[in-house]
Amino acid sequence: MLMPSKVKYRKQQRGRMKGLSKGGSTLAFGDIGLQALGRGYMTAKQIEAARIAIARFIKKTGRVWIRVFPDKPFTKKPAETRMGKGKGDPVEWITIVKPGRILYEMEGMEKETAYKALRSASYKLPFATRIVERETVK
Amino acid sequence: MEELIIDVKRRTEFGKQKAKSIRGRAEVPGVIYGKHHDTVHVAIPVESLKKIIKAGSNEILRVNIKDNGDAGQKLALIKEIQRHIVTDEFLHVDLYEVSEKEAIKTKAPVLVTGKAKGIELGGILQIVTRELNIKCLPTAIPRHIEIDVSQLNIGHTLHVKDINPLKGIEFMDSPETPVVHVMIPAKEEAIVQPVVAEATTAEPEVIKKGKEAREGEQPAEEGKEAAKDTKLAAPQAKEKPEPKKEPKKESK
Repeated sequence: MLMPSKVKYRKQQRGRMKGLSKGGSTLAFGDIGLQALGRGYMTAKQIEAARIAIARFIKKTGRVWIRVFPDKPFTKKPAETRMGKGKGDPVEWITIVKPGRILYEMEGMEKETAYKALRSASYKLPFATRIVERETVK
Repeated sequence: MEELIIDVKRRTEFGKQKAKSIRGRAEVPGVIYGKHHDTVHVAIPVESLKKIIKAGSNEILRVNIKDNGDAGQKLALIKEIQRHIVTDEFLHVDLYEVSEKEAIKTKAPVLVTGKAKGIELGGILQIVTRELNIKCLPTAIPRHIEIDVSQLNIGHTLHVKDINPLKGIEFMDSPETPVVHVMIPAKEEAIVQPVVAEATTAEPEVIKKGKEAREGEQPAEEGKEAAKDTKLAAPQAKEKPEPKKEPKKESK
């Protein structure tokens, strides 16, 4: 699963999830992509699960780009622990997704296959998404 | 290339709130600027903008500007269209005023034709450059630049220098710029991957600051904290004493 190799600090504050995606909201590499419409935390597990779902459909054909990286540690206190005694330990890596963010991009496969793959990937995610296409030349 | 005619209104309202009210009237705030011309702020009807986009992004526009009875005409190209990232609503349009006699630098989209040989052998076609920078007269701007990839084999790349030269069009990109590439297929990976528990618990390396003296202080502080923790944890330990190991006695 994706995670940073080096970090400056082990733990981070949660922060806010206001507004729309500041960048990464247009297709940069592929012809077709999955765009977030909702907001929330996307864990490394979810990124991997969606990637596997895409890989199942496209098999060896085509290319996939992952446009998000889980660089934020998510901490949790152990079960049945009293409050206090400091912040919990990091349990997983997450990324904050805001509306408009492109999550995955694909290229080099039939449109129908790409749609199926991205739709199956969308079921692994905790927010609404839509499939976006590049405006092609006719 | 065809000329499209678009009627726009001169805009005298500026700012965020005014722009919002313009969008509420099914118009898009825009601006027309050029090298040797004064800037004109306009409001463009959404419906006519949609028609233009459908026709193609590189079309020359004959812009009729209406201004309280006065009318002016300008020749322009769409330079940039800003859209809302979620709703796709038009936010702003930049039009670049051009002269029919002066060559301009612009971009033309790449249109790939044919099926590459390499794809039949399992390769993946990758379009590296989707738009080419060109220099030509506004009337000679192509709708797209066709590139035939039928001769491309696995691992082969088509560069800007390989494109057939077009009359009146000069490519501004480096001749060595790759345009289309047939990639070698990636090795098949095991799709079913077991969920590795280690990956979630494993922590990355924490970058420490340079001063050794501070680092030296840390263990002492940590030691104090640890001592506090043991004191606090002590009652819990009394509540749940560890069971004694009886098997040793049995062995004797």
